[in-house]
Amino acid sequence: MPTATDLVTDLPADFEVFGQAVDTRLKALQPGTTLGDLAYSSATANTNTRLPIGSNGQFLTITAGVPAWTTTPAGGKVLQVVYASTTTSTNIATTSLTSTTLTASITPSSASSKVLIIANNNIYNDTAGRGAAAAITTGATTLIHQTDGNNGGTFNLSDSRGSATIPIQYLHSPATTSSITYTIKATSIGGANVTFQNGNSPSNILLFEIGA
Amino acid sequence: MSYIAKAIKKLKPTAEFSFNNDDYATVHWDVLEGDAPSKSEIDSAIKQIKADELTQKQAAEAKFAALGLTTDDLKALGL
Repeated sequence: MPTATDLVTDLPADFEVFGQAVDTRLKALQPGTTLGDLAYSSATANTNTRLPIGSNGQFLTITAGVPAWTTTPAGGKVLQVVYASTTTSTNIATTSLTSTTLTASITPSSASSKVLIIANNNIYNDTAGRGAAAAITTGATTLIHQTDGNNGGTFNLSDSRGSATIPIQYLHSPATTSSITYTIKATSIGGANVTFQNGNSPSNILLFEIGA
Repeated sequence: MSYIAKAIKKLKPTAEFSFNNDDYATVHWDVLEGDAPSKSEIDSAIKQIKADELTQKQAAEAKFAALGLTTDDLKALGL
């Protein structure tokens, strides 16, 4: 920085030195070069760091202790929903797991996503003290089977006849981005006859992909 | 109850099975002793079951009539 005495001896040269010093200091404090750039303090005194402008929809976050742009966080969000229904009347009078014809497929967008399965089953029972136990399956794998090992689980009426819409849910972690088909199956307790979608009344299923 | 299911239970009491849309052609057998009943056997059993049900209904109505009751009386009682 020139002194007052210096200014008297060589004014033009001293102004040039002064101007360069000011320019260097301003550039250190305002390092932005592009519209939308941001600046934040660095570890060096009186020196800021340039954060280039992010992309559309990005959020400002902190990474390794400094500001950074990031894409929209996916955690906990519903990323997609699949709905399916069936009205195919299905009589099940067997203790073997049998498809009720209610099925739906989903292709997760991320292997870390979970799939929430919610199904509502229209069921008609015509044998007192007997019932049905519903299950959610994928391929040969049974994710949940609501049997109580006795006379029911999902549905059991002590009356001789009755119908109801019975829900079943499961939160699955498929760990894949390939298509998965979920099928509702059921067993009849004691081999009694149980009708799903009785009178072609619809049953439905919803698949929610939940971001990790 | 599906008449097909009733007929199968009548002909094969221990059988375990499933089917769709009341269609005999879709019957899947999980447990079956002996041969599967044919469609004509199922149809005959259904006719017999319906006839038995009608007979039972007529007998019940006759008993009510003998007591001076009608089906409207039963409805009034919530039955």
